[in-house]
This record gives sequence, structure tokens and C-alpha cells, in this order.
Amino acid sequence: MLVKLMKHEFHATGRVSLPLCGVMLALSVVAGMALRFYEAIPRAVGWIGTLYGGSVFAVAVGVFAVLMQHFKRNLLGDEGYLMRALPVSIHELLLSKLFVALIWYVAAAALIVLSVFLVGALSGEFRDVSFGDLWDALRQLFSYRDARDWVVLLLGVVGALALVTLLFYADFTLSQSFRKHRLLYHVMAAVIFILLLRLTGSLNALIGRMAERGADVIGGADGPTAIYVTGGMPWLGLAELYVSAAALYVLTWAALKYRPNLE
Amino acid sequence: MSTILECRALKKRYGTKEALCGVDLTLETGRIVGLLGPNGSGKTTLIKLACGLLTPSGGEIRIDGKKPSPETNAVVSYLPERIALPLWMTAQQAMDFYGNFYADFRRDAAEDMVERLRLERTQTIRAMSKGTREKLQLILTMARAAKLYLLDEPLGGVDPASRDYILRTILTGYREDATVLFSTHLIADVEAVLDEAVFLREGGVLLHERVDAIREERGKSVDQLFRELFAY
Amino acid sequence: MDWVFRADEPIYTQLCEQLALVIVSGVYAAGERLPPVRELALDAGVNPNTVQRALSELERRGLVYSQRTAGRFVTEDAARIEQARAQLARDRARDFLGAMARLGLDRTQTLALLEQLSGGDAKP
Repeated sequence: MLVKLMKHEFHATGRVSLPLCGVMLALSVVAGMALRFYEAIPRAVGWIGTLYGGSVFAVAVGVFAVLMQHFKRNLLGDEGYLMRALPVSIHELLLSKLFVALIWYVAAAALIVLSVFLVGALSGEFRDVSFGDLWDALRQLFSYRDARDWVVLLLGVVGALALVTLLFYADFTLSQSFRKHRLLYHVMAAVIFILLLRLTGSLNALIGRMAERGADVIGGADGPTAIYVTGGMPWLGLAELYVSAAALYVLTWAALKYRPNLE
Repeated sequence: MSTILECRALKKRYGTKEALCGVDLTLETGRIVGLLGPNGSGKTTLIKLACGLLTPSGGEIRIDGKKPSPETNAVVSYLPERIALPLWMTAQQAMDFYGNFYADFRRDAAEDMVERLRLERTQTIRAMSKGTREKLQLILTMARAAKLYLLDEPLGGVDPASRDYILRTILTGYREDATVLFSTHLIADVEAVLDEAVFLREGGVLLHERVDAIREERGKSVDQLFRELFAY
Repeated sequence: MDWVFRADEPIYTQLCEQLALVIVSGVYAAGERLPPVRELALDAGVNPNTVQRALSELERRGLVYSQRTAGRFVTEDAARIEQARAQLARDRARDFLGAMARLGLDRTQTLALLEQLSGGDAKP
């Protein structure tokens, strides 16, 4: 059922997001080609460039906005009567939305990178770039990181994206659940926010102390310290990220289950 | 005859307001039951509790012996008061959606009914009139081979000709191994279709009787009885 | 056909009477197959269980019989149909007489009225 729900989510959100991405890619092609004629028609090319830039912005903002609007309408609005009567659990409903959101973020980021690449390639600026060299440069950049660091980086990015998404989900759901107790909701939201901040602060301090100690042991050189902060002791930071995300998830789930307040 | 819906001392509070205060109700398989009562008597709340859209504040409700859950939702076909279908979907996509999520969806039955409604399959729901949207949603609900149909005001705000169409659609979808529970305040229109009538008043069951019995024993129609019981 | 139901009597008894009327008036001939319950229910706009009950009653009176798989048929017994016709006629006549009595017509006046009304048709 989760897969079916995810398909439905893609369908519902892709209606707007896909054309947005399509427009951006098309504009990147146009902008890339146009750049070749920059000297001849600088003004027109400038306009095209602005348009392309706008489309990148539209994708970044639009994909997120579509996801959030869809969440509201699909679970908290009229469509909720259909979705919440389906033979699926609230977990499946929430997770399908969260997973699809994460996939969209990654896809949108990849498409934006691709479009920048298209502009570069089509404008002829990449003529002199050897991709072998590029790859080597990238490898060098990350050469001192082992596989574990990559996992940490990936988990960190995914966790942060999930956290932001869940923050919105929780806010939408809870503010709807307590629609008749606005003040109560705002107080509660503030308390939760402060708790999250304190948790973040104390954990960060802890990580910082441990990293310092680690750096002292190694010898206090600049490089290793940096590695230690981001690579050596990140598990607590990750745990904090995921615990916060899980807390928001549970809050959203509980509000949907026990205080559903469909319009 | 087996029991499909059972409520025991079922309560639902919204804040300090009691929407249901101790409902005891048992519905058998193979009946068409009218859920009747003035506005605010708890009809919608009872239906929402049965399909898991709300959780009880007290007492219990069981569908086919189980508490409302995704599992019971698989055998309950629910028609909400309002249009819940995503407006961007076409009739075709809406049928695909139902077919995807409900194993008991009878695609051919739905196609038949859509055909009879002379509905353009590729038209989006957004482009349909209010009446057509309501009919499509009812078609999808009744095209499932569910054990329990919960219809919340299927006749609300439609013209008499549509009312006929809707009652026919309900009768077409009805099977001996299913129970239909529908709320309405248009009693005179639906009386002939009902096996049983459940009268709700202020969150409690005032009366639950066979329609034939009401007529036989009291010599009056359900509509007349309703008017007497709820006279101000 | 038109189905009209009054408020003061169970629907199945009214349905029973109206189905008997349909049979007696020959809409469904002796030995003819009746439409299935579901179809009748849709046609009359009533509950299928009510149709079932009405048909069972007709069966009990011998006006219809059922064959396990083939469905329900009108009886082939012409005497039965005649009997039903007589019964319906008697019921209607009784209703009529009751109505006339309520209107304050006595027996002679009622008979005269009948004579006058039916005479128009019988003796042009």
C-alpha cells in the first residue's frame, strides 16, 4: 500500500512540479545557446538569463510549496475524507508523503545541477574542461573522507530535509487540531521549539567538547580538527537530528489519529 | 444473519460538547438502514466513528467484530457529505484510484454507471457540475462490493430527479450480504427503500425499528412518526 | 408501471396487492416469468427485501410459484387467478361502499349512482 500511496503522491504533486522542472530545463537550453551570442545581443541574452534564473528559483520554491500545499489539502482538507477512509494506516499516509517529499528535493536539486551543467555545456564554456580532470579534482577534494563520512553526510542531509518537512507537517496538523484553541497551540508550539533549541544547543556543546578533546589528542592541527568536528563525532548530532524529526513525526501522527479536525 | 456494526455505550465529545452520549446500536447484514434525525443529532459523528475518521471518547464501536482500522476500512465503503475526490482527477483517474486501493472495487459496475450518467471520462472533476461530482462520488462508493456502506447525506441538496437516480444507484449497488446505512432528513423520499429506521436525538438512539413494523403497529409512515417525535 | 404507496400501511402489503393487480390484469400472463427481485425493486423504487417479502406472500396465496434456479413464475392455474381477481374486486367494491357511506349516500342512492355511471357505457 505504501508504494501505491507514493505513486499517488507523485501523480498529485508531479502535475505542477514536473512542468516547472521542464520549463527550467528548456530555459537552461535556451540560455546556454543564447550565451554564445552574448557579444551580439547582450541585452536579450541578459533577459533570457534572468528568466532562467527565475525558473531555477521557481523550481526550488515551487517543488516545496506544492508538497506542502498537497499535504494540507490531501490530509487536512476535503480530500482527507477520501484519504483517511482508505484501508491504509496513518503511518503509511505520512511516510508516503515524507518519502515522496525527500525524493522530490533530491530530484529538484539534481535537475537544477543538470540545468546549470546544460547552460555551461551549451554555451561552450566547458570546451576546455576535461571530465577526467573534473572527476579527479572531486576525488581529491573528498579524498581524506572514508565511506563512513559519506554515510554521515548523506544521513545528515536527509535528516535535515526530513526535519524541515516534518516541522511544516506538524505545524499544519497541530494548528488544525487545535483550531479552536489557537492560544494553547501557540504556547505549545513555542515550548516545543524552545525544547528543540535547548536539545540542539546542549548536544552541540557536547560534540564541540568531545571534538576539542579529540583534536587535542591528535595534536591540534587545523585539518584534523575540522575532520573531527564534521566527520569524527557526528553521530550524536545525527541522533539529535533524527530524534527531533521522530518527535515531530509522532506529534503529527498523534494529532491525525486522535484529534483529526477535518474541515 | 450476522452483525456488521455494533456500538456499545459509544460516546464522542468535541471539547465540552457531547456529540454522542452512549449509543447502543446493532446492525445486521443484509439491511438498508436509514439514520434519521435533525441536524446536530450525531448522524455524521456516528458515521465518521465507524470509518475511523474519529476515535471514540468512550464505549466502543465494532465493524464485523473489529475496531475501526485500515483492515475494517477495506470492507467499509464511505460516502462523505462533501466532495472528497481530488478535483484535478478525471473520472477515469478516480476509477483507477478506487481500483488501486480497494480490492473489492467492481470496475465494470463503475464503468456501467458512469456510462449511464453520460459522463465524459476524460473530464476533470473540477470541470463537472456539483450534481455530477456528487453522482460520480456515489457511483464510486457503490461500485465497491463492500460489507458495509456508510452514506452521509447522499440526498443532501439535490433536485428530485437526481434523488431518484441516487436511490436507484444505492439499490443497484445493494447486495444481500451487505448493509447500507445512510443518513438523511428527507425521510418521505427514502422510506420505501428502507428496511429499518434509526432515529437519533441529541446524541442518543431514540428508536430503532423495522419500517414495516412502524407502519403495521402504529399505522403511520416513518415520516409521520418522525414529525411527531421531533415536533417542537 | 406506476407504483404509489400510502403512508398508513406496510409497503410490502401494498406491493403485494399491486403485484396481484398486475397479474390479474394480465400484464404478466399465466405461466410467465416474473422479473427478478432486484429488477422489481429498482422499478418500484423499494427495498429488495420488501419485494422478496411481497412475493413470498403471493407465493403463499398460490398466485406465483418459484423454481429454484429459474426464478418466479405466475401460476398456470387459471382458477387461482380468477379467485384473486374476485378477491381484489370484492376488496375494491367494499372500499367503494365504505366511501359512499361516509359521503352519506344510502344503499339505494349508491346503487342508482352506479347504475347511472355504468349505464352510460353499457347502453349508448
